[in-house]
This record gives sequence, structure tokens and C-alpha cells, in this order.
Amino acid sequence: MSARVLGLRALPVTFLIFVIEALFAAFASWPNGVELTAKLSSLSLDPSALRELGAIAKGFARGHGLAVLAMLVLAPWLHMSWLIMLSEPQSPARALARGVGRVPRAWLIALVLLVMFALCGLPFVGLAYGVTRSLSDAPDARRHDLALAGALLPLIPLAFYFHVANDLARAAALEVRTLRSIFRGLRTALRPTAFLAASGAALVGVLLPLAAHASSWQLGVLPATMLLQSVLFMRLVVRAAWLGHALALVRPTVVVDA
Amino acid sequence: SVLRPLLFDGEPSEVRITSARTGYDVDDYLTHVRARRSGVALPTWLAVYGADGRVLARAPWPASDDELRLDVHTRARVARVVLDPDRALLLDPDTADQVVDLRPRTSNALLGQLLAASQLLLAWLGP
Repeated sequence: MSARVLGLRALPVTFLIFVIEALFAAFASWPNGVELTAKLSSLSLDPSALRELGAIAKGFARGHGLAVLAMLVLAPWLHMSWLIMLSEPQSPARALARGVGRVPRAWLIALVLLVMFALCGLPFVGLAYGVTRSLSDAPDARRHDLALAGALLPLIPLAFYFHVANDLARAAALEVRTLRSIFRGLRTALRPTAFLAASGAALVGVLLPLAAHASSWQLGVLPATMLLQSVLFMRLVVRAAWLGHALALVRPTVVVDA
Repeated sequence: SVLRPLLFDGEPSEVRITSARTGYDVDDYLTHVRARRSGVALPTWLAVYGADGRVLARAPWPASDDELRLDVHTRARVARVVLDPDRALLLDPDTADQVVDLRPRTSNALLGQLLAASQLLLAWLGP
């Protein structure tokens, strides 16, 4: 079965995740987001108005902190339910119920990979510290900043590698034990086909919403909202297709032809 | 008295819009503009533009006034308010605070954008 078809199989769970994200975003944006947008639409540069805007923005950020925390708690359950739904045809309710049982495994995988990422990233952080110390007295501040950015730059592909490994390990964890699934995830993430497919999905997931945001400024309220929401849903469908591909890569019983 | 601080003491001559709002008022549009200056006081102009880029009104701001408080009545809706539209005050280091865009952008449209951005953030951190 192709990854695309596997991705479509999980459409009910994909839609549920979309709804949860929308509800959390609405909760985080209410009521400060409404006030913030009202203030921004009649922007005044008066210092007292800017102070008021800052206070509303602080409340807005606080609401988002809570929503992000809630999403981080729910994410492993939703991730595992998504993978279970992708692995074999079943009702969304059953997939969500089975997903609960896989949550501890999902957390453990994330924790182990996070520690591994921290250990692998340590040399680069050390390098950045060394650069900061050795170039702190340099007359050219730009040279210092470029060297610092250069030292920290490898952390981006490293973080992405562990993110891909996390997807693959959780996919493998539906079938094998935690430790084995982590090794399988780390090994499979090194395969060029896996890395390329994950990069493609991630790129679509970043560029498509950004392009929609940029173009929606020219549209009216309704078309802009419809465009943004459909692109956000499309992003999840593309991610589901990638997770279907990940399942096929780590589980020989699922054959991929795309 | 103006040239010495500008040329020899490095004094700036700054003007900035502190607030600007526009709205419909009975049979025309009323735009309130407040602006302040600092450094060496030089005379300048305030211009209001329509959505088509036409100048709807120009008002002088004499050097003797530290603050500008102006109510401008126009037949067309004001899209932009600009201080020093001829860019004559070349010693003002920041010209970004001399322009205010008053084009209507409904808060609903902004809220939709904000909501989608929040969803995207949660999606990146989510499953």
C-alpha cells in the first residue's frame, strides 16, 4: 500500500488533531487575541497605548504557554493513535483507546532521544562557548557573531535527525520493544530515502503555511480564513503521509510503493 | 541659532507621530493627528493621503510649536498620514515614526491570521 493511501487511511484522526489544535489555539487567543487584534487594527504610537498593547501581548503569550504545555502533554497520545490508525484499518475511537496504552512507550522514546540529542549537541555548545570566550575582545563584532552562528549551526540538522528518528522509533514501537524501536529509528533515519522523505514533508509543512500567511493579507476575512485553515489541514495530511511512509520503513509487513 | 547646534554640536532635529486615528464624521472623514518634536525645532509639514495615493490635505507645523494637535476633515477616507512628506529634515535619524498607515484592516481578518499562526505553532510542537 502506498504512503499516500496510508496517509488517507488516518483521515479521521488527522481531522481530530486538526480540531484539537484549532480549539487550543482559540483558547490561547481568547480573550487577549481579540483585544490585541482590535488594538493592532487601529494602531497608535502613543507611549501609553503601546504600554497597554504590551500588557495585552503579555496575557496573550501567557495563554499560549498553557496551550503549548497542554499540547506537549497530549502529543504522544495523539502521535501513537495516529500511527495505530495508519498501521491497520480500524475505527478512530479504537485507535485512540489503543493509543493510550502506548503513551508510556512514546514518552520513553522521546526522553531517550532527547538525552541523546543533548549529548550529541554538547560539543557544539562547548565550541560556541569557546568561540564566545576567545572572540569576546575581538574588535569586529560581526566576526564573533558569524563564528558563534557557525558553531551552533550543526544543531539544526542534528535536531531534525532526532526528530525523524523519534517518528520512526514510535512507528517501530507499535511492534517491537522500546529500546529496539529506538535503535531501529536511529538506524532508519540515516537512510537517505527516509531523510529525504522526512525533509520533503517538513519543508511542505513549513513553506506551505508561511506562503498561505503571506498571500492571505491580500484577501478578505472569509477567503483568508478558508485558505489558512485548509492549508493547515493539508499540512497535517502531508505529515500523515510521511508517518505512513515511516511505518512502512520500520515495519516490513507494510509495503510502500511511493 | 539653528545652524550651530546642527552643524557643530551634532544635535538632531526629530519629529514623530504619537497618535493618529480616522473615522467617519457626519458627512466627511475626521482624522486626529498628534505629533511631537525633539532636538532643534525646524518647520515642517503634515500630509494626509487617500487610498489612491492622492494628497488630501497638507498642514504646516511651525517651528515655534513643540507639539502638533490637528483635526483634518476630508471628503475621502484617509489611508496614510505622513510627517515631513518632502523629506526635508535630513537630520532625523528615524523616519519610520513619521508615517502611520490608517487603511482599514478589520480586527476579524487579523484575528484569523493570529489564530492560524497559533495553530501552526501548536502543530509544530504537536504530534
